Amino acid sequence: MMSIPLLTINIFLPFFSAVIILLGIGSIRAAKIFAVASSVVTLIISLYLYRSFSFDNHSYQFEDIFEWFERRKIMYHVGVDAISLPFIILTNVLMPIALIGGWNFSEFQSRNYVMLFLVLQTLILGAFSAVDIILFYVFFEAILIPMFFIIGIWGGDNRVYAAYKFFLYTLFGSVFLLVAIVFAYYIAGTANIPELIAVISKESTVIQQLIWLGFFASFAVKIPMWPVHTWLPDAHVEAPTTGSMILAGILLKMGGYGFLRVSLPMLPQASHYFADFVAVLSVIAIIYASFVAFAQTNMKKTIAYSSIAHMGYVTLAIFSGTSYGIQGAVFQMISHGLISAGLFFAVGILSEQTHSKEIKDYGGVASVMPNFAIMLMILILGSVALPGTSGFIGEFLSLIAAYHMKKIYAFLAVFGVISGAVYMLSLYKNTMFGKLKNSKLRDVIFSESFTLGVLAVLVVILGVYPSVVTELLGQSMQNFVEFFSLYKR
Amino acid sequence: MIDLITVIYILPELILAIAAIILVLLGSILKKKSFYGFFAAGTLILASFLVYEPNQPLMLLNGLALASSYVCVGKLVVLTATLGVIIISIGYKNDFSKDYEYYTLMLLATIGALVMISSADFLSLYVGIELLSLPIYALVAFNKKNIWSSEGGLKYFILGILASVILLYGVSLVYGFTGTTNFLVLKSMYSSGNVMSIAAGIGMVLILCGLFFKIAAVPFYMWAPDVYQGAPLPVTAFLSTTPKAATIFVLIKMLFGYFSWAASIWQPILLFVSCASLIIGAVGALLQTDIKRLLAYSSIGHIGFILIGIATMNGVNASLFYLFVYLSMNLGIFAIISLLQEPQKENYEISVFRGLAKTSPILAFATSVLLLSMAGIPPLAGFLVKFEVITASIFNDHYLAVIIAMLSAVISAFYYLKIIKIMYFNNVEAQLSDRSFSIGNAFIALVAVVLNSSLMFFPTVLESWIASAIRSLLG
Repeated sequence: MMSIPLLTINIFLPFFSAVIILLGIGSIRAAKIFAVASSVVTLIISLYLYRSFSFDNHSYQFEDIFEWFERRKIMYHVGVDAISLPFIILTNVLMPIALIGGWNFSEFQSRNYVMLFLVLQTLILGAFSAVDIILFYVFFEAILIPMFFIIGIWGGDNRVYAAYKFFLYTLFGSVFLLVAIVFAYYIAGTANIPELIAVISKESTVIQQLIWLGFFASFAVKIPMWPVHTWLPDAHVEAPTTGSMILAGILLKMGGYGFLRVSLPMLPQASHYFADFVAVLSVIAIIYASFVAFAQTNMKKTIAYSSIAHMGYVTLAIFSGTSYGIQGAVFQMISHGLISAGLFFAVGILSEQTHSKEIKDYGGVASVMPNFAIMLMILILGSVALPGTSGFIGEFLSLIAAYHMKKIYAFLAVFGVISGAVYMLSLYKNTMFGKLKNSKLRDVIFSESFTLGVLAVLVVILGVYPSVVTELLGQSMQNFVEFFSLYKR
Repeated sequence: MIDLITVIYILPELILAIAAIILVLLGSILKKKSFYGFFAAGTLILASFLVYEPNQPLMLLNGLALASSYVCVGKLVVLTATLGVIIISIGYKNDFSKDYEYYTLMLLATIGALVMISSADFLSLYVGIELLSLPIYALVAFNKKNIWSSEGGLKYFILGILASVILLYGVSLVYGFTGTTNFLVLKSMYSSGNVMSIAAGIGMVLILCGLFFKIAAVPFYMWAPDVYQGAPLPVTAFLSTTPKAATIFVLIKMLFGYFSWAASIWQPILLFVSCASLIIGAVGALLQTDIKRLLAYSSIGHIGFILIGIATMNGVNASLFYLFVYLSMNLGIFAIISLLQEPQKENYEISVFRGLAKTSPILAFATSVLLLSMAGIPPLAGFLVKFEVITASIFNDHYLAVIIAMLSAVISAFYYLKIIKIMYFNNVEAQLSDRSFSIGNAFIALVAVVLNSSLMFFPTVLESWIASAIRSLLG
């Protein structure tokens, strides 16, 4: 059974689809059909991986290992465990959905965009399944290239500025990540993540702290945390709709995934040492971003700031030192991946028709787009963490974790939940209800309602039956044992 | 009396010299101008087939020259790089690049580079450097119709002569206080316990200064932007490849192979020079709008990376690796710039790239690959070599240099992105100008793009080749 490198096929299938489109498929329609087919196949593969995933096994599964740098013990080594599997599935769910939903969007009228989109999928999947830390960095960093072009070519009026800001912020963080990775590799003499964890977690606190800071510089920019979050609103506002979906839905999770994958298990003492620092930044992010979101006049900016606030729960939960925290963080990231992608998509549906993302240009939309309004309502309620939606589970677990850490963090973070309801619901009220400002709007067509519908249904399913994800994670807390033990007094 | 074995090892130089003479003779008889470039290219190919690799290092010409697999690699690299430049020159649509003098000078300069690489004595090193430099002074000023070309030539000449004098003075100090100019004798003298006198140490430093000038390392970089800008395009390509490659090979051979015992003298100097080059290379290019000036600063930055590798001793493999990738990136980008020129109308503002994504998507893609590689973004070769250098310097505990290198890489990404932005993001009406297409340039660009995008996946091939070359240096 292990003879077929399923995971590698999953990773590189989109890339080769892009190459085939480049070489052989001229018409944009055929290219899109081919891209959808390819992404559906990757989805099927990843669901198969989920089916045959052994829950009792804490180590990596479906591993593929090939020689790469023979002399340096750096290898092409991919595998999935319970932490990466949810993200891989999330990626493979969002990709076909974005492709189908964006069928008629302006950015999808270009073959180049379709190709870049597929390449992006390969790089994301590679980053989530890399077991070799150098390989992880290569994928992680290479994502910059397609994303830079996606924002810069198909973005809005201020796209050049946004693309630059995105690229340089991320690159700036990444160089410290690279230095930290090489430093860890130097100490441990291996680039294999489990082996690195075994060696580095026993190192002295000072060394751990140095490496931790290097990792933090990159992951904090990626998530993004206050005060290095400023690239995100610009990138989101300017990016094309489907680009925003992937950016908010998946790319932001890279940072959280990085913390879970390397920072916590590899550097338990440093993570413990810096936990309060991260928690304070997270609480600031939650409260600050909520206020800023409320003040926005641009729909995409509101959602972008709400993303920053939601990611604040993630970082707060990750460093809480409890298993609730890890579960909550992963759940919150998956849930936010679905919700934010849906919200950005909804904004895209509106702005494709009116070419405006300003809140003031809309009103009474619900009267002309009833189906749209219903599905958007579910997503908005997910975003404000109403019980019964996935958002609730994620924030609830995160708040429990924060409570275990220090009560004051939970107390302050709860304000984020309230203000989240305020700005999201007022966004909904201002655009959907009231006086009709634009009567030319048409309701969602099939492809759009398919995407919105799937996302809304997933949000509800995860909210009602969260153990799909938490069961997966419950078994794999092994990696964090040492980190947890530091908190026990 | 020169014996036959020696002749075998210096055959490439001899072939090039003979070819240069033939070219001069033909030039006075033949009227068919397009022939010269192909003749020079053919000679270079022939010469690179005649590079003969000995089983183990041996001294030639009474210790003046060295034959080893390291020297062999160096010669091949220089010959290949020069071949690339010649191909760019053939495709370069301007009258003077058809002159036989042009190719004669280039062949002569190449001989100088080869002599430098195989030198095992300060005297032969100096001869090589001069033989390399003198034709380049003339080549820089070759475009007689362009006042900046003459200005650049004169500037390069005056400063270059000064650097040569400094180097020669250093050699005389070393000779005066040790009684020899031979690398091997110096090495054995000091490995048996002698301590280097201060004056000889100063001599070494002065020699290094002379060499730093050739690779435009800070603080000897001031000539580079002006000369790069003034020189005709293929000559700029030549300046940024062949002399730099030869000098890097010499630096590694000298410092790592023969003077590693004096590391306490040259290591801090090299570290300082490399960090300063990185910073100047990154910051200096930010506001440049002339593509040649921009590439001059970018070269300074790349040289900084290469020098870090040499300074860390164990990083020489990484440095050589970096050098290969640097050469491929540079030749590729110069070939592309040459493809963008309209006949008889030269424009080196970065605006020549404007809207290239619309007018010529393939060329725009090639440019982006090369620029992103220069910026060091994975999975391109530029990242691979930066990673190698960083790894080497972390393994030797040079953390400050690493931080400076990485930060300057971020800053320099800014101006590489600027060109990509001009190609892709700026909305312009597609205006098709009749650009001069040449198969040679397209070929070089293609090779560079393929190399830069695939090296990451097969790093071991080049790596093992370099490792064996370095081993022969120590053996």
